[in-house]
Amino acid sequence: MGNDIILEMKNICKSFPGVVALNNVSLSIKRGEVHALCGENGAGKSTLMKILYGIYRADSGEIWINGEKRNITSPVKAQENGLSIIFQEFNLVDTLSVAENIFLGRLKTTKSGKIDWKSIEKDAAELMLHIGCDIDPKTPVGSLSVSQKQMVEIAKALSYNAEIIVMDEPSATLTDREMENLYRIIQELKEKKITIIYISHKMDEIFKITDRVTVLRDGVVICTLDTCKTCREEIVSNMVGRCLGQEYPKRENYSGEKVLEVKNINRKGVLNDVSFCLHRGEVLGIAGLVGAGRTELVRAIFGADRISSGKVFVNGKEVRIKSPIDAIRNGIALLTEDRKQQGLILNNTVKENISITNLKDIVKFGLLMNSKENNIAKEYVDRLSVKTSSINQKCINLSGGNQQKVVLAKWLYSNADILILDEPTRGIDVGAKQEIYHIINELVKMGKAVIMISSEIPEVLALSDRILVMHKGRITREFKNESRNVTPEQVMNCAIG
Amino acid sequence: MEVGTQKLNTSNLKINDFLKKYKMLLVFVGMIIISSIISDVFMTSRNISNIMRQVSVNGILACGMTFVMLTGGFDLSVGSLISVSAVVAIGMQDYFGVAGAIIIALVIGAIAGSLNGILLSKINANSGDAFMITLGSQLVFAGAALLYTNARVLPGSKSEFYNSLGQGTLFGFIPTPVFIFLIITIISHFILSYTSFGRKIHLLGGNYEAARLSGVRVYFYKAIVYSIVGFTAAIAGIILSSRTLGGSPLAGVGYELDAIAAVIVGGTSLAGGEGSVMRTLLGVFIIGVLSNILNLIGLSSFNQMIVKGIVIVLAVWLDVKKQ
Repeated sequence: MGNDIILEMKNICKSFPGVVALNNVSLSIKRGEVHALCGENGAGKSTLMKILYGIYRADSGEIWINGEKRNITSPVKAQENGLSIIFQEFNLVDTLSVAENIFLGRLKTTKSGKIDWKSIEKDAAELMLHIGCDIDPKTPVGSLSVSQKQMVEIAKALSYNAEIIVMDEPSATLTDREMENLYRIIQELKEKKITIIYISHKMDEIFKITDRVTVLRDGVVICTLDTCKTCREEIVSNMVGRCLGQEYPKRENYSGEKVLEVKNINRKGVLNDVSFCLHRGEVLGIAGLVGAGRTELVRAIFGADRISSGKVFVNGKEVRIKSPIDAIRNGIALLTEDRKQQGLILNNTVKENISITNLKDIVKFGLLMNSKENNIAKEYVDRLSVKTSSINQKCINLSGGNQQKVVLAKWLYSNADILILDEPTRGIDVGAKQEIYHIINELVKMGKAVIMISSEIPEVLALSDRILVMHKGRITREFKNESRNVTPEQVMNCAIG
Repeated sequence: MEVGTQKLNTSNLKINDFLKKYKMLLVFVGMIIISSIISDVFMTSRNISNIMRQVSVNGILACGMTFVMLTGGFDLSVGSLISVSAVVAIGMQDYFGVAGAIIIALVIGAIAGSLNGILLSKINANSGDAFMITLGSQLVFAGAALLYTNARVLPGSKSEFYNSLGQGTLFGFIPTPVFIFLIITIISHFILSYTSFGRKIHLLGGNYEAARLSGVRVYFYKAIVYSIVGFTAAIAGIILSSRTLGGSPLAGVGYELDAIAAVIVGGTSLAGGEGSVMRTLLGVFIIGVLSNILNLIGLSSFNQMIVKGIVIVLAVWLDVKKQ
């Protein structure tokens, strides 16, 4: 490998109206290495990669590949130069098959001009096998899991003979086992001298799979480090520009009386006889693989989906929850896993997104009381330290962490006593994560009950007083975790079933 | 050097913001200036009053359409509903008196609209579904209007009050339909901007699923907006039958497109969530002035169709580009 530089980005500058996104950024990547790119949201990672891939044009700067200066003006040019990128939101067509997706726009034809399905499917199968994945190439992509879709994307990248593959937070939506599979594939790609630029927030995996790491902050390269010669604290403090305290803040145990009890909930093919209870002042973690039924369970409790049978008790009384309205009336809140599609109304303002859960409170005779709404919005923005230029800012302009805080704010304003948080820290940066942990601790201290679903097992272990593990729509195990003594292996074993 | 570029960028930003926000207003002002240059008649009080009269029917309908389009919906059936209410309001006068006939027409408009709404809400329709379903109900309502009169035009009302709705003048200078249009605009603007009801319509138009999961009764609001546009269609039908002195079963043909065009030209997003009655008002006047000036310079109505069509396409293009 040595000092064989495959890609060099020199002095890249890019500004958008009002912001300098990248300021004189230089990056050099060695052939066959796995190079991590980290930084908080808004640090400029994605912008840099979009420039590399020809989606944005840099204001100034040069891109050199294999020692030659290249002019990458479009994604097609990027592909011709051996670049490929796998975005968080995949570029796949759900209704088409795996094989069609891999060769989209380049379908081979027979001599008579018909599409040569046999050879396309054979090539697709070979590519999939190449990365150790045995999905039938005729399967429609829509029926695949997130992890399998990712495999299709990787196969697609390889089909372009990509030498450099950029992966934008590929593990964000994967469970631990799927991640292991991804790491294995990355290892294999590396052996084949394919270079990988790996954007990630997760320190564990940076140390596990990368050779070097470049930290960006506020559009500037802070440092490039050899992964084996650095430590997690060094990277994190470079990312945030300050020293963070403990990753998971400690707290006492505040558990009190039962506030929620769920008995024998069933939903055909999804949930199977699920029963559990939740106490005041407690964080109840729900762990499990993607597809284990965790999200489906909490959506059923919240009335977002119908259940076939089962009972729900709030404060000892049986309640019938047929819709989110009923749930909110009974003091239940659900922070959904998909913040942008289900959590926020992105084009509306911060204040409108906060007051939505409790409009009655700011309405008199059907009229909105603006000053009351403004005061309430300001109060919650301060309380959760949401970073926004004003309460009249549209949520779409906020960073992921601050968007999540707005979602938390709206549920606090609904006066919910039972807060269900589905992947509350997904896709947000290290600093914001810690703030969310602090907020969760505050909530239970106030006597609220929290259910937290997370695919990051360390997070579940560190925050939960009790842990439920789900597998195939059932709760397979309950762990008491007051002294934080449950191990990831114990949880994983139950999650796999 | 760098500071300089940044400064330039921010000032560009401000101009851009300004242009974005008041783009349509600037277009409107530009149209007025150009119109008054190319036509001597344009700025006369008689012509202005004429424009106001002409836009009022479309304006009333466009107010209702704004509610629907804010939810991301669409209603093609309102033109036919205008016809239905026009023939009902005239035809029923012999049996129930003028007031009775007007009330019946308004109730029928609201109920027919809510049938659309309930159906669309039940199947959780997107705007494409709404397009097709209201295309269907357009045929149903159009057929109903033709059946009711046996495809004849009903002779105009004998009531002076009724005839004044379309032709009269209030307070000596303001044409009655313009006055009604003004009232409807103010009420619609008030509801959408200052009430909980209006807020919820904006919220569900912005993101239906997020609004549902936040406890907004989305089914109800998604249905009720069609009832509102049905009601405004009935008002429009009554005014139209009064103005033309007759209940034609074809009175409302094409009106739905004018209303939709006004809403889009005003800048209410096709995707829903963003928009306002004030923007619609602007859209109504842009289209109204455009028709007027094309008339004044002597362009035939066929030429006008082409120009109007181009304006709509441009407006949609701008809307999509914005997103």
